[in-house]
Amino acid sequence: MKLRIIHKTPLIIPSLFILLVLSPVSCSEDENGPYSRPLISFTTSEGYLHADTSLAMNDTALIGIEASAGSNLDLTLLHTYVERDGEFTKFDSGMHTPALKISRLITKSLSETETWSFYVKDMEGNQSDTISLILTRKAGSQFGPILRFDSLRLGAQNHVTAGNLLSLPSGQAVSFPEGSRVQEEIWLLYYYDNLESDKHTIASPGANIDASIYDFNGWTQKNTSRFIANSSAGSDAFRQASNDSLILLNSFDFESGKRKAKELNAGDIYSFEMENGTKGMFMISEVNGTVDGWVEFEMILQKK
Amino acid sequence: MRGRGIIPVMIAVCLPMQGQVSDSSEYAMHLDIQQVVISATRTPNTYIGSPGQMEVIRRTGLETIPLVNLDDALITLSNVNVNRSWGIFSKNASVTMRGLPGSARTLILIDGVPRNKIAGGSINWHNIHPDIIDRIEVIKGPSSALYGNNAMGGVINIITRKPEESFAGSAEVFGGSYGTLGGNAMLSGHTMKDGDRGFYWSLNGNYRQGEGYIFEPLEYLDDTDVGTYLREYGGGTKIGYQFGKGHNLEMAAGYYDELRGGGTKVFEEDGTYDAFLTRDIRLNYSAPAGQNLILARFNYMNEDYQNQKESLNSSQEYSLSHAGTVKNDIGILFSITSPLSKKHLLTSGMEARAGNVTGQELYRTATDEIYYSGSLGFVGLYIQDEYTLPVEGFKLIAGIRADLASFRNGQQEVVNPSGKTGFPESFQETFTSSSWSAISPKLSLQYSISPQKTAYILTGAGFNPPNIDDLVKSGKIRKGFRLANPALQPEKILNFEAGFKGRIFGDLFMSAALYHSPGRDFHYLVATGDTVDTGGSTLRPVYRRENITRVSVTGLELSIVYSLCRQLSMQSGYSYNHSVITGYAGSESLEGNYLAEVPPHLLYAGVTWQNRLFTLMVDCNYTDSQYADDENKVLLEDHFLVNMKLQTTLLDHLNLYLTCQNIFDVEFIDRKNQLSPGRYIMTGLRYNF
Repeated sequence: MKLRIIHKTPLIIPSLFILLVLSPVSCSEDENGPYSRPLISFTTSEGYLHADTSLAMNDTALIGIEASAGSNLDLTLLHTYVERDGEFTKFDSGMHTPALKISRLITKSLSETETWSFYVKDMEGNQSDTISLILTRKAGSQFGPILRFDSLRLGAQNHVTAGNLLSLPSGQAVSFPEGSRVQEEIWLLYYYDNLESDKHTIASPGANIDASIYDFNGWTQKNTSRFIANSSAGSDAFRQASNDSLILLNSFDFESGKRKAKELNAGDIYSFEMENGTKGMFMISEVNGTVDGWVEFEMILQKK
Repeated sequence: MRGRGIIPVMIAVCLPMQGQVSDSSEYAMHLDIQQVVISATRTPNTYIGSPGQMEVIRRTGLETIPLVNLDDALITLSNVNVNRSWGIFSKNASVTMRGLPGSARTLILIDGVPRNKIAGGSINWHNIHPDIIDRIEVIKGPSSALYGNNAMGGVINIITRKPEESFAGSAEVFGGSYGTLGGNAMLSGHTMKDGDRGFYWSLNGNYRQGEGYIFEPLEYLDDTDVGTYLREYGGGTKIGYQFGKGHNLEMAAGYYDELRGGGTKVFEEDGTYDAFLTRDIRLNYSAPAGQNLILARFNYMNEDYQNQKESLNSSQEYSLSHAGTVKNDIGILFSITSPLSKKHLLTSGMEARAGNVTGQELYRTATDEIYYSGSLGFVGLYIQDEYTLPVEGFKLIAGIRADLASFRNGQQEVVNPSGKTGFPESFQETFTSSSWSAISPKLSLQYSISPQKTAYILTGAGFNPPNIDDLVKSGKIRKGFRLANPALQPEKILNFEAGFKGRIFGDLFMSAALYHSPGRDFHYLVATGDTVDTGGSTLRPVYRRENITRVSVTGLELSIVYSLCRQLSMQSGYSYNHSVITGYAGSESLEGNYLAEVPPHLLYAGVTWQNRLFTLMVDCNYTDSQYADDENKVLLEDHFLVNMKLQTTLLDHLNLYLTCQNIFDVEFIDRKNQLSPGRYIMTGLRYNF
């Protein structure tokens, strides 16, 4: 009698299991609480641009963005969208934070009108409102002067004689110890990367370079420059440039640039922008060797 | 001196226990040549009477092998390559056969029901628990004449246990390296008296967790590298009613929930992970009808896969994305086996399968959203005749299967792309439906040299359908950017083989085969010549998967089982495959290259020592060096691993065991340049009642 009960009862259990398997996935209560959209606004403190305005070409303006999550889902994206006379540029910044407060230095470009738009999203994709600024070009704007460096040579990290870091605006190659004494002047440097296979690389102190290459621990000012490979600007135009029109024509928005110009080869042309808004371009003449090698390049830089 | 010492040791091992073990073949892990198997012909045949090469892992073998996942048992077979480079922390295992890479080219069945997902051909080995298995039948070589899709390298049919006791059960707890902890439980029973008519049932559950290990080599380690943790639980049940001998209705269902860390953590609590939720149900009905045997099957499987990926690049830029797919597979099979005369046994049937996938990729630190979906359906008709020729000892098996497949509902939508994914602009694309067919013949002639020896020659065919991902999904891949190709056709392979199997002398059994398998229309990524910016420092090449490659696999396999005495048995297997690309219509020069992820030499040897006090199995396997890429530029080193399992029974019901994989802590890296876990130890206690 006892055995029969044992037999019947387990038959029910497998049956219930099959029902569980066949049932649709149950809905669980949302763990993230009630949703509301993230909030975003321009910083309105003194010194920050927060309304439409007119700027001369090459003028810079500081803008601030403040955003917060609408729930306990962190913000993960700040999206920037720039329209310049019908041309569009957009770039994304990843993050993982409940609130955001950043400043950006923007430079008025060649375009007559440009619209800077921003929104944030949280990690479930909930999107804030979009906030925008319209910048129009002031009449009478002129192209600016440039500095030209016809032959610069930087040594890789193990090069015994050539300087590894470039001091600007002097254009002098300095050794790493020398550079640490003029940190505010170091915007470009060169090394050969065999950790990430980036090979011949030009970057800046703020590019998170592995400490086994250059150890920036202890530097109080790590300037950052950003780079974009430029296939449309030819070497002839580069060499004939007499003002910053070519630089501005091939410029990019700082945030959308890469922190490193990697796998460099002779003939490569890069546009770059320094964190302080100064823009420039360089063209590689020659790369040589590996960790004890060197790079030679020509450079044009906005004179400010 | 050393040679002379072996014999006394053997005598010492064997003699004291004489008479305590009833049958030497019981402890040979895999071989009982008179064992009835069903997978080679879909009809009951003895191992020795089945056409071609096959191996069987029996229940006793599964209990003896030093395994921690079911697929670990398959390395004991010749010409089966199991790739599980992170051990139990691997997202999945790849099981391939006969010199062909890619899990989709081996068909996996559970009780005859296909387990390879139609959407990609892969299977999840974690959701098949060893406790539920009675035996594993492995058919070597292309077998699409009976089984259709995926059966290019061979077929692995996992046959589940049927309750033997009116009420029985087991409970197990275990712990091991890298913080592994877990447990299993199983209950089963039946109401059949004299094994004739009545209900039977079983219920099983399992749980496992582990902290994992860091797979990143030391020189690349950074703050975001963490252990590849795992948390998984699952369960299954089977209910059946036996109306009489050979007349059976059975339903089985499974549920499995898995979370596995991907080795990176930045902000999210779980870091990078893969999560699977799998549910499946199978119905089997078999009935005698006069002299005929009718078989009907239905299966449904649903897999919900979620992936979270987060990372910081060398410039400290944070990236977070979520991807997910839902895959549904459904299938039916109807088969009838009829003895037309004393010499002809005819098996014919119809199989229909359909599968779909709906997927999305949402980039949380960029604006990109990608959605895609598609479905594939197959209908196959097959017929096979097992003909006992008038000439004594000869048997001819001829079969053919025709499959018709249809690809439908393919679409992809890309919303707000940034440089992250490489798409220039938003778009929505609906792909044209397409269809294709495959005819797969098989012809085998075997000769019984004696009741315990068989020689054979055979030819067969296999095919592998395109992956739905390749049909509908464009996007970034590891080597560049892949374009969808909705016109992709199946790969096909032929096989010409000669072999032998049987008892050589005493308790020495051997099987051997030589084969040549030319394949055509193999899928390869072909560079289109275009490049695209996917957010990296350089432009990435654009590829599309095309049916452009001819391959050739020529090889041999050898398996030896030897019972030295009733307590000591050994099993060994060796295979060699020369797998090369013989024709390639793409722009790159791949002709003559070796197929990626195919180690030419595979070697296995294991010894089992069973006595009154304990059972000890020590085995080793050698995996030859292999190329990680089609271009044959990255060569992965070979490795030789030694494993063991020691177990003893206490108080009749308790089983205490210790398993050690990779005893000598050999370190090797996989094709993604990630480290293996090294030595892995697990110990457990099992209570059987």
